[in-house]
Amino acid sequence: MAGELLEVDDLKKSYPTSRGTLYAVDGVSFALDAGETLGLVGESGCGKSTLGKTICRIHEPTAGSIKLNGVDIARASRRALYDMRRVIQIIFQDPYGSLNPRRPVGAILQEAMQVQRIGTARNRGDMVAALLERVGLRPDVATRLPHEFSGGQRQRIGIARALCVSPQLVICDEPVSALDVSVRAQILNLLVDLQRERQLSYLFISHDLSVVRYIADRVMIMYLGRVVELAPQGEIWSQPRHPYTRELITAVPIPDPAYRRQRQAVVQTDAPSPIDRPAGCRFRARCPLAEERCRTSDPVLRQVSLGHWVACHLA
Amino acid sequence: MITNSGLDIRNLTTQFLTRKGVVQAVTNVSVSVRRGETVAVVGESGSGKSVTALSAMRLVPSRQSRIVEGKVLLDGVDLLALSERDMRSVRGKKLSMIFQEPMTSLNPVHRIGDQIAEVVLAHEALSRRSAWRRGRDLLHLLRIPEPDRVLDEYPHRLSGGMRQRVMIAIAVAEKPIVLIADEPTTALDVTIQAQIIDLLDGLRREFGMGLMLITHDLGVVAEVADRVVVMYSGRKVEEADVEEFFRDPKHPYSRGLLAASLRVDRGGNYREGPLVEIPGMVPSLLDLPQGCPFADRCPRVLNQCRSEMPNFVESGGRGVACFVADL
Repeated sequence: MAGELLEVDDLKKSYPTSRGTLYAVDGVSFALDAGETLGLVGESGCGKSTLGKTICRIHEPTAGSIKLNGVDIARASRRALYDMRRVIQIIFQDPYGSLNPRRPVGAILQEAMQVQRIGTARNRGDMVAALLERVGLRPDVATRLPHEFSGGQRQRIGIARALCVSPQLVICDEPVSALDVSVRAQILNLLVDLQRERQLSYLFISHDLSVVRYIADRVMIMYLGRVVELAPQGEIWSQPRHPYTRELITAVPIPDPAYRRQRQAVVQTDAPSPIDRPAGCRFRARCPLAEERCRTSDPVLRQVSLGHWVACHLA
Repeated sequence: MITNSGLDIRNLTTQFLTRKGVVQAVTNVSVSVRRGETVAVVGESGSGKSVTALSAMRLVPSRQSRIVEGKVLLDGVDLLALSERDMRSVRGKKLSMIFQEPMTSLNPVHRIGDQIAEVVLAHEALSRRSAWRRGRDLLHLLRIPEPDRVLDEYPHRLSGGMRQRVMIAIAVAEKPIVLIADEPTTALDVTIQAQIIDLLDGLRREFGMGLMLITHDLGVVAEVADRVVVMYSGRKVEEADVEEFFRDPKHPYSRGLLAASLRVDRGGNYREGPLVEIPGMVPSLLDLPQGCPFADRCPRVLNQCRSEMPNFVESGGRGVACFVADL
């Protein structure tokens, strides 16, 4: 399909462990257009974070392709990735851990530009000042060290750093999960504004469905390394087709006492691990609708309506 | 309504002694939790909600901190006046607490069965075998499958949700009067969170115990709380019954929190407009402004707010600390 910014095809990432192979990402395919936000949702162990980091080659893919503007970067050499890093950037969940604590933030940003040969020694300072201002910080904070900022401010710095090279795609790995609720809205609004201004695409990874509901154009649900559902934003919330998606949505507490969920005897099973994948559908142990064929046959992701894909025999 | 029963924190003020000076983490905070009721204490970083709980449990480090004022009454007895020895027979027995990260609260080198037994044996004269049996009963109560296998396991072999259940089991082993839960589900997946919240609520009803739920998640508050207390910069700024709180929040901070909260069942996409923000950020406790700590961020701020501290005014269970709000 021509014209997509990002096209991921049957991407896999696995790790050998003492207890067996861990299939963190087990065959994921999707595409992302310029200017769109794809929300990626799942619980711990589903592989969403690994997927994000594999796409920008922080992790090395085990198999599959990652086409960026038509060029496969999955097996590109580290040297060849230099140009790619101008196109894809990533912002992380932990605004504390992702900034060098010993360098002033202005220097951190300048370094990002320097590496990609953006600007000159003379004008980088001005570019950094403009960028800091654009993300809502005063330019004179460039001389301060990361620990002098609050969590929300550090996340703004992380965003500024990603924007230093004018990327087309930004992978956002739980960017607001570690922030206070009152600051979250500020950062989400900032991300939306920047997207509009710069025609950015976001792969927005989050466990928080309420946030994804706000920010995403399309939503992809992952379970144990696979995509189980992918749909446009209106449809996924109103017509979720996969039992897991429904379970997730029902589990989110609503900030409104009128919507208290009925107490029900919830099934207490632990999720199967990404190491010993069960045969058949991976979700069947938790699925209220599981049938015989779910035990024997692994459902593939198929389109059930325009733009709406589900991996379930019963959807 | 005066009652002797439950936890009654009155006018608590706790300070920390740091290299940069004295930090007053909690100022004049009063929160009460009766048997059988759930009180949600809501706040963000720096609100003092955790320090309030730790002060009640007398778990704040004695060298770096001091409780300068207040009473913590548990069924009428002031815990702050007890000797440490007497407090030890209260802590974990009549007043219990669970935390956000179960992995750091469980001893990694002891089996689960031993850790539950340890608590039981500390408070009751039982044989080790009986204590283990109690452990099995508790795991069963907390709906943990294969309790005998789990009793034999080490914490790292369990998932986050399981560990949290074990921690709850340890905390309720002696059927406390009040259980304090400090962000018990923040680190958990949403489906597990739902189970844990249901579990806590069920235990509350079954044991008739009070539950003080410290959280920043308004969804969780709406789900289980009877009453809501909102804290900001170490102070109580609002208190209300849960329905009233969501229907008609009085303090501008409460309003901001509710306006900024997102829902999974309704609400627009970003294309429909920006989210309502609370501008700015929480002030540093080392550098608190003179008047109301929320003044800099408040959409309804008056001159008076910057120079004077609003008192907490209450009437009929509803209270607010604000010059602009009216009850």
